[in-house]
Amino acid sequence: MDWSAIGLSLRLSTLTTLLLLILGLPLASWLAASRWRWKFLVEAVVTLPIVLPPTVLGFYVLVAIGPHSPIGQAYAAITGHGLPFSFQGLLIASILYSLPFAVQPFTAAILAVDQRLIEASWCLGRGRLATFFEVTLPLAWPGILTGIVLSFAHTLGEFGVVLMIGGNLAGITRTISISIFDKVEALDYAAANQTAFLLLLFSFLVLAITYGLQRKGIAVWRPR
Amino acid sequence: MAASLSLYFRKRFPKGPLIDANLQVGLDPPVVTVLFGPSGAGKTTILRALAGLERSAECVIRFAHETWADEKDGVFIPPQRRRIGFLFQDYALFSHLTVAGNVRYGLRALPASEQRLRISELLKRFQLQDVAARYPDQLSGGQKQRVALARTLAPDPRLLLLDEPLSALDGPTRETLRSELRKLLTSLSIPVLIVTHDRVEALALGDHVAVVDQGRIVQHAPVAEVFRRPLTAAIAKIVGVDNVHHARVLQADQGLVTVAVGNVCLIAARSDFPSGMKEAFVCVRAEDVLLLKNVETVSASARNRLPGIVKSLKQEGPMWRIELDCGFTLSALLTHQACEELALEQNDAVLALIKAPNVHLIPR
Repeated sequence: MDWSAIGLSLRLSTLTTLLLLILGLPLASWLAASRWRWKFLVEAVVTLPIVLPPTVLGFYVLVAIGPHSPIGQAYAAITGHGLPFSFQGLLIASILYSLPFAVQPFTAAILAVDQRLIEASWCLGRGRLATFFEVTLPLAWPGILTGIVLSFAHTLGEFGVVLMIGGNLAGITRTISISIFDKVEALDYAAANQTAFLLLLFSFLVLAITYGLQRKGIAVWRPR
Repeated sequence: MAASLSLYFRKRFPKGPLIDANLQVGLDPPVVTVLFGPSGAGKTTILRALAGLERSAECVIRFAHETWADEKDGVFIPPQRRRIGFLFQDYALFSHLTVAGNVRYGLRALPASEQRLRISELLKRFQLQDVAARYPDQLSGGQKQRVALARTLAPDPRLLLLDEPLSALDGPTRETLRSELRKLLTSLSIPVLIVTHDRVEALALGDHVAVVDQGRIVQHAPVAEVFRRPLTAAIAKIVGVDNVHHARVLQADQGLVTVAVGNVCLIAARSDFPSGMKEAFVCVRAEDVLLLKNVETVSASARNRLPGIVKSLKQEGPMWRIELDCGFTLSALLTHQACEELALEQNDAVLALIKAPNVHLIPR
């Protein structure tokens, strides 16, 4: 069992999910509330990673963060090393790759919150931010949880993007799926099966628990 | 000029009517104003504009000396800073908070000790102590309404806006809560605006009525006047009650209620009239008024026999509308044939008969 790859994948997925929560919630709120006429373009861009082959996404991210791009140059100037074939580069790619899996459930969940509850909160003197944290978030919680689980599981299983951006550096960019690929290449089917089965089991359990909770109408979130 | 709330709001909705509303409500003394009209007329939009939930480039709202909105000058005070109370049609209770949590929601600016005091005071006032720890989905319709009222009143609003406050309730609950709500509203001594499409509600709850039709306020006057003297035929159709008079309740027993309109007594059959009510509106449909002429003595089954003088006769389609002076103005609707048979003319003395079940009372 390639524990270093498993550890790396978990770290990548956790950080990606966390950052998607921080970036995705404001984006989803904006998508839910905005009446901007060009909003559909943003929606299309957010959804793009679902239909795009990971190699295409990986290729452009690689170009965008590479040593010839302004982003890559700025990053290198500040930190002293480049983004490609680093954990940080992988993180950026993962965030883009899993963006729709977070933002779409977030947006749907926020949209499902009755607008009148938001307005009731405003009329009771609470600002937009307070309303978001005290009304929208608790009520949209099941959908937000779905987004968290999906982006975690999706990042955990990513392969093509990792290969394009991260390559295959043990302990730095060799994630579970790359490790499995390695084992299969080396015709070590038993080791590949161990890791693959673990990933399969984990993904199934997480999804089963999530959908199970949703079916119960998520009694989990009821403070006090 | 006395302090007032004034609103000018003009907006065209893509799939709705053009809203073009002008409204002025005196604040001193505070009155209950009912925005009344058919559904889709724009009543709720006007209410939402007052709350700051609906905006338009053409909107001016002033409350006493404050300007809440003057969009041409870029002035817009958001709902948070208007200190208003808004009761939503289906109450919009926070389902993730308990009854006490809902009431507390608007009180976060207060210190914890004052919050507790105010919450217990409100829970007691609205008889919600026993359900304080419950969640909204565990409450009856009437309880939900009381929670919504308590939550709305908790931050001590300066203006109360109610959107169809009784429409989410079933029949019997609605009847009971109607008179309770009137008592509550008059006890608050803040201006109140209520949206309703229900005549009985308008009569029972309002001091003034603003009739809203196709986005405009077409008549704004005391309740009895609007229902008795609609300005136009269109308004008459909307309000649809011919005779509405303010009355004092004299006596109520055995299903018969005696009321006085001015000096004239009327008897109404109404077994479910709430006891202890001192005032009511008497409603009589013009077609329920029977007229007799040239009678010295009469024995009739009708409980109400009112001598009166014909003031005017006016043709309305196949019918004639006769206005009588019986100590108050009573409108009767007669067929053309009946009118000819009676040979009715102005200043004729007649006797008007109304059966007690046709005298409708709305307590307030």
